[in-house]
Amino acid sequence: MSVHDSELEQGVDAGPDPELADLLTDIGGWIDRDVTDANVPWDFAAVVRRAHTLDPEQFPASVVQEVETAEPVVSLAQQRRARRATRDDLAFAAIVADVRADAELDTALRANGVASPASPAVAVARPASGLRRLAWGALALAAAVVLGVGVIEGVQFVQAQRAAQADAAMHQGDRNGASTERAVVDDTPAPQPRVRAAAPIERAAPEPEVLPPAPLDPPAAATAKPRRASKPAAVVAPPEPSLSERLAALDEAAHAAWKAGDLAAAEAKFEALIDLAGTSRLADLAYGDLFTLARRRGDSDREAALWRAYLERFAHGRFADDARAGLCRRASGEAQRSCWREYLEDMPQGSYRDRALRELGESP
Amino acid sequence: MDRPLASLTDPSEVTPLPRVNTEPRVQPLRRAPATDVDLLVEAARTGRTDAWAQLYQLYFESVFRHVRYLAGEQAAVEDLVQETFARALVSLRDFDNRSAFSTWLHGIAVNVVRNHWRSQSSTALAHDRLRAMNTVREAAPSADVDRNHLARERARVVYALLAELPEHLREAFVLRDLEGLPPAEAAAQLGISPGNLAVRATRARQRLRGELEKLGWLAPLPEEGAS
Repeated sequence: MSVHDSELEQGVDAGPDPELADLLTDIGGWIDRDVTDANVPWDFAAVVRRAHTLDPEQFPASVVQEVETAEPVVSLAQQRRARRATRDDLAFAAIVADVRADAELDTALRANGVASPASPAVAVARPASGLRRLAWGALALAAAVVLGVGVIEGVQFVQAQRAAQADAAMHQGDRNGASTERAVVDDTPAPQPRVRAAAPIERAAPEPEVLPPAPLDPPAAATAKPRRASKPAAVVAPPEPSLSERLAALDEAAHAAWKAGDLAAAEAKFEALIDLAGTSRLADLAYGDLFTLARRRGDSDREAALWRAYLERFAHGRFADDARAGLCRRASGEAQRSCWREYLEDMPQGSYRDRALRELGESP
Repeated sequence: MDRPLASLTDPSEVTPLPRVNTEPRVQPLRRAPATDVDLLVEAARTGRTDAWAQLYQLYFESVFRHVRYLAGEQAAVEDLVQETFARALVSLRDFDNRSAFSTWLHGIAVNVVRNHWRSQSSTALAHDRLRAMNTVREAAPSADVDRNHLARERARVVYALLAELPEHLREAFVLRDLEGLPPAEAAAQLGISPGNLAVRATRARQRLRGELEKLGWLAPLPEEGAS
């Protein structure tokens, strides 16, 4: 500090002024809240476009294009929220997929006369790691019984009974322990084999192997082993990816395509994700990406269509505020006034409240 | 910049950029991890737009807040922030490391907003001032006015009054008294000494107080020596 500055500084302290300090603190607090609520769109591409205008030599059009096709820069907080949301969504989707798989399998088993895999005995035998495992455990159990019966080669069963035996075993629903389970053949010829629970087996069959812990994926043994040794082995189908895995893959592929500059592919992947993810938050987030992509392309009609589709699915979603305001901005005349009026009614504290009031000729 | 930026899109030419593991900072001036930011600045100097993108990500919020304080109105802030970053982009080669990058960047924001103030028509300012005066008459006597609304009206009045001050006093006051920057930081952004800043801020404060008293927002200070 120079001497002059020191002299200047002397006497600059006008003494405490708590009243003014309070007023300024109040204003500062309001501005900070205003900043926090501003919900300002980040647009790094716009910055680079402006830099290109200021100095086209240093920032040629190719750089602008590069940035425009790159993923948008978002706040770190938003990035974290999105990551957290994605993780939550994937976890939730996994649970939903498990429940759905369980329900479907249960339905299929019931349709074939196999009891629901809910017996305590089975519950002990199976690994306690989820409904899907339980379901696959039940399938494995049924398959093991089939296998057990199937390997009774040389036993003098009537040829005509064999199919019925197998079917009956297939439908064996008793869950009194895999190791003691016996398949039973109903003596009475019937159009459809029936299950007789806990009935003694007519012929001793080899003990089915004790079930190993059910695998996470569909049990290959249950699907691959032939019912008869002489029959060719069935083709082992690769396990279907779960819903959560498919969603994660689509999300990853969409962002990879975006990074690679293939915006059309990215858009297609996000759309596929939305179709699959229903009304989950992952779909909500994917819409945000689609909005950005449409805006990047300058396709305002597409953007408006996306807003409408979004609002139909997410009337109170995280982008509902922007979508509503966007549609209002696009409207004209009385339709626009009506739109803003409805916006204010539905979102009295919305981010575009001031704009809405201005459009309606009211003071913000 | 020695080479065109477009050539840098070839991955073989670029060294992977270290990721910055910092939180978004409302007050980056105090907590900036210098080493990471320095690396980013150096990379940005060589034309790495991804480095610039990260700097934008790191400083957007603090620059936005800074500009919001300086401009006093929300409407123009978005454009002013964009202009700040664009100007920083094209002039990064002039950044000489004598100050922290954040100080330099926020200093650019001061210049951008200064130009914005200058471009405002005097008519518009007079209108704001008149509006502020009317607001006083409406808002001041009411004790049950919503606190948030009151703060907004106070801000409108203060900024209308600030518009009447010389820009060197206004800027010092905003940075020091409203935004609450440390004296050294505020002075560095304005390119003046801390002592000079203190003088300017005090003068601005005195003038502002006088106007607020006239408008009835503040009670007059007691006379010196009065008990």
